[in-house]
Amino acid sequence: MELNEIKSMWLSHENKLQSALKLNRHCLEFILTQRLHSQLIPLLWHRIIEVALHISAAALLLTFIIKNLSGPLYVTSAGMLLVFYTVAIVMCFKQIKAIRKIDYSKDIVTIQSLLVMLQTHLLNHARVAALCIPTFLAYPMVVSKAIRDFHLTGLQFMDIQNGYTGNWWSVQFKITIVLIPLCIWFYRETSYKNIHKRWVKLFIQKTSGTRVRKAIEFVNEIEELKREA
Amino acid sequence: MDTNSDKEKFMELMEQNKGIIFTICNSYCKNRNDIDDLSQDIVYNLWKSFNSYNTDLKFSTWMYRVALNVAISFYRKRKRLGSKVIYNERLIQFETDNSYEEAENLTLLFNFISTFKDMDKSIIFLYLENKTYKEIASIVGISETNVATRIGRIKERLKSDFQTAQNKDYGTK
Repeated sequence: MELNEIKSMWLSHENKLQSALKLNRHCLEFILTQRLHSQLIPLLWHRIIEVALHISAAALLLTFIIKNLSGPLYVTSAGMLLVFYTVAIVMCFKQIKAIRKIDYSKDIVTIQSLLVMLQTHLLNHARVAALCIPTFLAYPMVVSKAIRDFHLTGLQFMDIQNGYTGNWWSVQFKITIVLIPLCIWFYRETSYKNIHKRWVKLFIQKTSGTRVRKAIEFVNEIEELKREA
Repeated sequence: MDTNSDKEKFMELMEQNKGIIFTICNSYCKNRNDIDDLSQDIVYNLWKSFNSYNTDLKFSTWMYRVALNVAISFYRKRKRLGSKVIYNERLIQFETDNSYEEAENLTLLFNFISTFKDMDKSIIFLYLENKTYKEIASIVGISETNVATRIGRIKERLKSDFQTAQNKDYGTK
């Protein structure tokens, strides 16, 4: 069957349909009177809370840096953490902007790409978290110093600078050096562009769920469509 | 926005374009409950966006954009985008309930389209609705060349699908 024949068949069906269909006016009126909240509203609130938490953490780190300007090790540790919190804040702001911009009357590619971006937020968090792994020593460094600064004697068991010697630090440093290229590789590999790789697909599914995987597959479909011309 | 005159105008436009909602729902959903949910979701989102309707755009073009965006998201998420169950009655009803079973080819066509990817579904649907390449490009958000290329591919695929179905049918007789 040729496409022209299919089209005529479709149009003739459409004509018949128009007279056979009846709009339920009660149902329509009921829908128009509803004050339902979009599912995007809770999403917006999640991001606002996230931003507030990240900003608080960043403010604490900044205070810590200012108080310890004379200790380069502490400034570097807190600085590294601050960079990641800043990235997280920027990511959240982008999301908030995107949520506020959603307007279903825009073209399909624009809106669906935006929705996919919102759905893949969780995945990006997982990827950035993986990228943070080499800086794992920065957390105990900062925490240890804070315990000392604020004389938190009850938390002294968490003060790693007290109980560990030079050898322990050198092992940790070597681990960090090995982890840096590994984590950068992991961050790059787990991009949605590599969803065709089985382990990436599995990682995305485990961290963000099937819905995000489907959303990513949809973005690939859009990109394939754009490439075709 | 929800003054009585807006509401009346909206309801009149829905009455004129009910076929669009019905056909989109039937193209994107497989079962009756999903069709009912999606049709209500589409109308709800159309009403919500009604104040942003730009009169430079044809009403049907605007309506296709909103309806297809809601349908694609619904299809992907398998649940409502904007609401909980709104109303337990069917929004669009058949006066005669046998219009679908009438045409075997039409049922086949809906089956074939249901296996298409989301974007292909939208493109072929708009093409069958007699939209020009320019209109399809504006609704979907891709270039006219993209539309032409994709329609060419869909055409080949549909032709082969119908051919296979005919051969099977012939083989069984």
